[in-house]
Amino acid sequence: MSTNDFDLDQFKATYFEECAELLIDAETRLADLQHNPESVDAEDLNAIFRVVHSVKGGAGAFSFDQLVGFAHIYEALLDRMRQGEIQITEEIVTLLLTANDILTNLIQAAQNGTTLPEESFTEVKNKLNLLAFDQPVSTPAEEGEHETITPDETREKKYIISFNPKPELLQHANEPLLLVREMKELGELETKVNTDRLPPIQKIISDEAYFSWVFELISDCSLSDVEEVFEFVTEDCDLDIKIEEEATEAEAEAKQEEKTKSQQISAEPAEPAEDSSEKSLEATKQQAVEAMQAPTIPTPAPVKPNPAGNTQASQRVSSIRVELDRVDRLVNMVGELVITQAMLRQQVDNLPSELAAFMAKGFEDLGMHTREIQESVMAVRMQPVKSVFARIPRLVRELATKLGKKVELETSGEHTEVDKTVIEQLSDPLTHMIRNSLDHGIEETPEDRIKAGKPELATVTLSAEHRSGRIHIIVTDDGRGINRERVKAKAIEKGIIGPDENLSDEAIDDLIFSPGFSTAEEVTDVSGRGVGMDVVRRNISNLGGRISVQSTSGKGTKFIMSLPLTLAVLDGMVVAVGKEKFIISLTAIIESLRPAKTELHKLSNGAEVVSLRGEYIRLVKLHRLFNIPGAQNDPSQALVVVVEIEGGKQVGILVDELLGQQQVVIKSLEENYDPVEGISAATILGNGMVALILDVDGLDAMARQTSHKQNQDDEKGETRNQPNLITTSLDTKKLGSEEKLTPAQPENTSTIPADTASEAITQKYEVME
Amino acid sequence: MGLKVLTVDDSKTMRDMVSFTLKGAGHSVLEASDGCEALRVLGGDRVDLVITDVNMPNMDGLTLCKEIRSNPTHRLTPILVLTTESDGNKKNEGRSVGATGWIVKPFNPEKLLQVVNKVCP
Repeated sequence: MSTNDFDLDQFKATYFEECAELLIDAETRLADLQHNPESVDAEDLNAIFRVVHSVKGGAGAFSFDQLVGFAHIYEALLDRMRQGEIQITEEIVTLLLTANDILTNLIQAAQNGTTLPEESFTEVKNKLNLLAFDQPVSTPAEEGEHETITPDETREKKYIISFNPKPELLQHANEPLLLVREMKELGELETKVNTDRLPPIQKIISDEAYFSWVFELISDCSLSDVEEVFEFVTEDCDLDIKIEEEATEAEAEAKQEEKTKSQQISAEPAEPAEDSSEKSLEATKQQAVEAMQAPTIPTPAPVKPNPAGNTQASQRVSSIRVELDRVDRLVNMVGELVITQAMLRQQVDNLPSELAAFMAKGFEDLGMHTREIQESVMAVRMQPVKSVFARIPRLVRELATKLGKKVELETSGEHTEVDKTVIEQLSDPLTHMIRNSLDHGIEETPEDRIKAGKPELATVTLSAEHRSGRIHIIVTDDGRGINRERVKAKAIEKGIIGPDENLSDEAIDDLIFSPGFSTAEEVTDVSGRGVGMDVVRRNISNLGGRISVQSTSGKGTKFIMSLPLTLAVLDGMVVAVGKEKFIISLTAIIESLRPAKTELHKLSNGAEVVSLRGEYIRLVKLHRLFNIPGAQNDPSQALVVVVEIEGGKQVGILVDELLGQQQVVIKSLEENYDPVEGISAATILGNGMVALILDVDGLDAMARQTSHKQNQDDEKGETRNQPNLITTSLDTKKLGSEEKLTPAQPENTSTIPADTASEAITQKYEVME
Repeated sequence: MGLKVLTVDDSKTMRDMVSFTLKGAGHSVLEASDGCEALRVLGGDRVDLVITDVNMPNMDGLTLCKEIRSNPTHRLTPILVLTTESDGNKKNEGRSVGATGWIVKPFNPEKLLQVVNKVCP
């Protein structure tokens, strides 16, 4: 069988996947180590050791030599640590973190089919070496090197091998017969067996060794080849290998050996020829087998009932690996199923009433089951954010060292689950937010902090929580807060805002997300990577998320990243405005009400508010924002849907009526069309029409921008010439379910082609500026 | 003709590779991800050979060797220990707990088959 029969490349994917999991495990444990170096859990060190060990094992099989070399040294150090030979100090933990980092990079490089420049990690390697082997020089890690030791001569030689097994040999399940077989493959073999010690059969103990052998092997193989035959048994036998040269050179030595040989041979009855010795071997085996079955055999050791096996059983979580593609297909199909079901459900209403009632019951069940399927499928894709959070402690530690700051990281909510796609996209923005907090948020030096009356040790908090059907990831620092003067000056300098613009504090804070904005005096090694917070915001909004900042001067800054839990479905409330239908995420809705006239107020800046239990809630008039004709303008005649927006604030969305709850399948606008302000996505309703899903935070922002203008318009009694934004029929084909569309409903008249729609959006921006 | 082999390793990559190699040579393979699981498998099955890693969670390979040797059903079952340690320490430890032989990583399919051949009739 050739090596080609065993193409190991096919296992690389599994290997790298496994590596990724292992590294996360190691990171998590290293982070623990970092936090409580005093109370080191031996199991932690063992586990980290095993990670590196496994990485190395696989790397060896695929000949990732650089990775093997590094892992070897790293592993050796961990080994010494777990044996307690090396004390765990802060420096060592830092070194381990760095080593882990390099390991990660090496794996990455191997995955990309490249290597890293050696000098990029020589320093760390030497440090590890020094600790692991008490020597700084790199020891080559290639194992098995000795196996290639020079087979100096290929001349035929005669090996005289005397082999006297101990009982352990058999007890370890080694088998002399197999050694004979192996030697025969090396060359011409003569076997002599000494059976003197064999007792009468009734006294035979199965795993006692009664025979000894002398082999004469004529072969051109090297001594190490012969030794390799006995590789596993050298300690379990008396073994003596002598070479009797066929050639006459070194005669004296040869004679000496001859002498040894004759002595050895004379020590045993020489009569059995090769054949008979083979036979007697067989016989011995037979006897051994019989003896084993004899009832008189003492049991060698008491049998333990394997207690460990049972106690561990309950801890195991069985799991399977499934390609993401398959899950995605499932998610997609379930989405279609939900739409189909909604469509059918609507048809039921058109049936004669007695039939409809019957069908409705069936649909209720079907709906329930569909929903359960959907939830189960979505759950498959959910993962705790832990995998992303695990990388952060190292990042903070490294940055803090680099920046000369003292920072402690607190994390919470790492078990919060979120869709895998969201997890994958989370890492970059999060890293950036953390960098930003450490670089810009926290005071330059510990002394600055002391001057400001704060503890020397700065705290950065990273937390995740479920909130309103979204996941909120919050990065807080107790640093100096945003320097609004400087931000404003910079924004003016960069031409982001006009020199005499009057901005609220919040608006100024928000400027840090503007493209091309960076307040760092110099582009630093830490934050300055050519990407600013604007990129962070863009990435997050691409995910249907938002990022906002709250800052108190001198007290600190808080970044709140809000992301959808899943990018596939949404529990929505269908609302009507004029003849349009919109979806509001159910999780955002707090209540809906029809306010009395006395509860409505208008603020001096033109904003309309409704007072609700002593609090003022800003009104967002959908028909105004989207210029929908025929909608109810008077809140006391319409409905106000109170929703929670970012930062826990509430706004009231003015709609004509609530049409009902429905689960909708999210169809991305970005992918199928273009992003639209105030709209987070689209969906297909039961009747085949496209409805837009409202982005309540976006709406709030829009309403703030336009409230003043609207106010003026209202007072002048003008109808603004804002183009209609709503294009209910916008390219439904792209949204994926054309074949399911019913013929356009008569009320669905506000349709304009997609081209016009995008034009409309451009115009709308003009209006707003 | 084919042997029934139990491969024990916490690394799926390694199990996959061992399993693939052995199956390619006509053997049948059982898998376990640590010593505890291996003992459970052995509880219901007789095998011709056990190939185990040393470093594993829950129960390591050396403990597994001891457990196997102390069980009358399996006490003469050959056990090969997969090890990256070439310094001999692990080999000695392996031997002292009853391992039949060892395979020094890096994993190499041909070497594996060669060693299997060495300890199995």
